[in-house]
Amino acid sequence: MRRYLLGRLLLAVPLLLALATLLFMLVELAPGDPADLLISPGMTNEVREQVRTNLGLDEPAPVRYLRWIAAAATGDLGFSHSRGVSVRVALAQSLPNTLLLTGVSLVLAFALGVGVGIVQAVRQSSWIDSVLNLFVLTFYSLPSFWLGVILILVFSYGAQSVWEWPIHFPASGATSVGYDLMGPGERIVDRVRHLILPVGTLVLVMGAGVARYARSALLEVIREDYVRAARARGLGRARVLFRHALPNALLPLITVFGLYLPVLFSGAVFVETVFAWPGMGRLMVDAVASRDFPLVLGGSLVFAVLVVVGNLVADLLYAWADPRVRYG
Amino acid sequence: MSSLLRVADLTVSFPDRHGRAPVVQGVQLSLEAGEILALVGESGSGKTVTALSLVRLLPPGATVAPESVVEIGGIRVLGPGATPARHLRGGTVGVVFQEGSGALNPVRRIGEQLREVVVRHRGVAGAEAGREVVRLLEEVGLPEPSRVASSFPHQLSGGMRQRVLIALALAGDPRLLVADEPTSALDARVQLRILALIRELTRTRGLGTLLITHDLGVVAHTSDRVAVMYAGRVLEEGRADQLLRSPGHPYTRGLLAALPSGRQRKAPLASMPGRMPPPGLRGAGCVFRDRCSQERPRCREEPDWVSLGETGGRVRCWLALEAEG
Repeated sequence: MRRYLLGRLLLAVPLLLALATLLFMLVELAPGDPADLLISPGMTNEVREQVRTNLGLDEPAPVRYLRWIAAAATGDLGFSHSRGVSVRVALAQSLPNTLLLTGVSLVLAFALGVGVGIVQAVRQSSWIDSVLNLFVLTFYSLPSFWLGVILILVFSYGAQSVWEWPIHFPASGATSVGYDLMGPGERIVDRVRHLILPVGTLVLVMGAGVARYARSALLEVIREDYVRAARARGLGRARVLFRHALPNALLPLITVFGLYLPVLFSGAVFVETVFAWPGMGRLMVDAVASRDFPLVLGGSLVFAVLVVVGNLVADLLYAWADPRVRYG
Repeated sequence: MSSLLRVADLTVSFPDRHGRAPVVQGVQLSLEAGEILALVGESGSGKTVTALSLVRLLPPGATVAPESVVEIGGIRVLGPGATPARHLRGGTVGVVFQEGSGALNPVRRIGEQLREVVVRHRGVAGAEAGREVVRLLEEVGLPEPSRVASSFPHQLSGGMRQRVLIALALAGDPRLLVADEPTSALDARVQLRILALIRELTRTRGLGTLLITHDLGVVAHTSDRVAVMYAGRVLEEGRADQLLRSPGHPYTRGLLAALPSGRQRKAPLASMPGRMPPPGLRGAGCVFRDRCSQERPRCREEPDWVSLGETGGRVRCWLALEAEG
């Protein structure tokens, strides 16, 4: 198992290198010159060239590529001209917020999805199954940015200004304006209140997908002979479901977990933009808009590392859940 | 004296295109403690459905006719006035599943799977349940029972897994053992050992064992009595030695003639012409008459049981009545 893990980690190195190269080429091919956004129209060509030289853009692309790769290997991702800080600092400010948003969403989406899938599989073809299916398919089909806007409209704007409900949620940001002046208890409440709508958006969209997989995985497993055999031994319904069927149905869901990580991060980009969440997603969108190439590259690289690590975690989970993988 | 198992007028039907078709019709069986009854028949003869109805594990859609009766140890578990038996499945009746059918959960340890049945039916827990698990694995002849208990199914051989499946059937301390093709997936040498184990357990535990098989070799090795099923009915039953030596029903004779024999290696195997009629197309009269070489006009009527001699053998065939005079 340790050997296997080490092998996987070593394999991640050329993978990330290839990815970095591809990203660099993509950014290089993108239209627009960063310098154009930093100077005003009235400035002379000389000033423009000076700005380009300062940004290191006067050198040919292959040279810049090698410089960037060499620096990135040592952990130096360059300077973000749009933020005025190093890329590392910019990422370090945003990454915790994104990890909080996606981590909470991932856990809740799987909990909700598996729960709904279990109910649907146990009550297959009943009205409960049909009603849940309607909801699942609806949320599965909705784009997360649209759902986010609707949630803001209803639970933030509508709840506060139109219907005047006792409860409403903030539409943007990770904390309120007066966060620094709050006590520790108030801070937690404020954080949670800000999390609810963006997390709700991601959980509804992703949970619907998980529910579809969970339902079909469980239905497949319920037909297996060991489930029938467990019933023939007189075990109760709950025991057969939770101790015999579910542990086997988890195996395909772990694969889904690995496949969903990129979906989660790209979904987070949209959701962070809609909810003005100060995370990686919004950082990236801003970076692209301002042609801040070092920041675009650094952010993409961080996303790539997250996906690779997430898949490694999925592999570990698989070994944990299936003794046939563990003992080969 | 009442039998350990009594099945009377068992009729089970399944939905088909034209409504409901009986898959098992009017089956009668009885079984004493310490006895092995082989239920023999080809695929689709209804032998597995008969066995599953003993533990009420029929697939959804199956309906049991109201006159059907199943009594185990004098307690009615199916039919008019049946009492809901709390420990029927896995307790009173242990089912031995076929190795290779996936009756063992692949992601749980053998010991855990045994333990939950012990806890469910014996009312023991903790270390005592653990000791009972090891004792059961010993009883079915597994060496190093503690190691087996902590293994996963894929770490054991086919023969060992079949022994584990027998231990699982015994874990609830049953009075009746139903073994559904317990050796079909095993090679011949292991097969004989498993059959010997089932015979030994039947004697030492005083179980009644219903052995479902399509293999007449298995019958000859193991069983005391035999019931031959065809197209949902029992056509002949009797003592195993008697029935295999001098079969009374043309179908049984055909089955025995189709066995390869050691003496005539080169001779082509005998076969029966025709096919078993599917459920729903089994008209009135003897179900075997379409394939019978000795069909009489009388065979359009349903034949009744005819006793054969003193040994308790009986057969459902008009020919036997003729032979008797």
